Amino acid sequence: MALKPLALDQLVGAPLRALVLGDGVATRAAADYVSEVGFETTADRKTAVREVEFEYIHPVPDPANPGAVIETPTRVRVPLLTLFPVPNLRISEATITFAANVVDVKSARIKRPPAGLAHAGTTALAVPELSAVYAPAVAAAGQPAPTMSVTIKVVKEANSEGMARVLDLLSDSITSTPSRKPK
Amino acid sequence: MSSVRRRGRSDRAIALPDLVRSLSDAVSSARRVLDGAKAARPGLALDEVRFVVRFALAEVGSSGAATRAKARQVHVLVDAPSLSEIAPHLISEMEVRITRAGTTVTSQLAGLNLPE
Repeated sequence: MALKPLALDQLVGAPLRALVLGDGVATRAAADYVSEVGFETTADRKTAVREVEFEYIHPVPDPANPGAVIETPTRVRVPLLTLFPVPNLRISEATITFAANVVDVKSARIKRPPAGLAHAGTTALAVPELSAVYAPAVAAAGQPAPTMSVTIKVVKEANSEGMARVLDLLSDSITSTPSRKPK
Repeated sequence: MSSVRRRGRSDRAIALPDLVRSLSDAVSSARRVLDGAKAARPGLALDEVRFVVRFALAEVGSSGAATRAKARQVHVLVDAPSLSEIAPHLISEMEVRITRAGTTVTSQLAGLNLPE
């Protein structure tokens, strides 16, 4: 099947779109995991941390009898989320390499306001437009090499200073208060 | 009679600055894909896009050029149909790297003898 020629921006943009979608799927999977494994809805429709509760015998040194221990039944409650690693996969870096054959060069006229003069109406600009099709990176014997090869390097962007401070504020707002008075 | 006109090689020639600009425009346009996703969360950023483009010299300047600058412009052929008709030793390679800092262009010219 013959490949449909695409404008160059679509050719470059398509793998980037795939990366964004993949990164979003991974982020949602991590959020779903935290939500499903870490929390539950109680009978009275409140969100509660899902916990593992068990009892074991904790040996406590007997102060009245040095060297001896008192077997003390102890109840432990552990948030389930702390027992398993959260599958938090993110794309930290990606390098995409592909070849393409330019099949046509057109001069498209677009209307665009002059730079810095958005209020001054529009002017027609002749913008060269390359159409290309994806091609094998290595040409078959007897076939010409692809006319263009493209390598795109994408990196994970750090949080902006503003976002980092907002996240710090949100972290500081995490509080823990007794749910009922101790007996 | 069909209104479709067969385009000759000269119709497909592109001025070198226009070629670099079209590559740069394509990257700017593609970058908007990443910028759009950033609205939801910190995301991915384009670090570098590297194009290696094979080209052949089509013409230097044009007698009908309106300005002196345009008269000196090098026009090249980059499309596969045109390059397939040109002897391999006349085909050159150009590398364009578009990074966050800026754009660099390097080229290895083959059989390119510019008129003085």
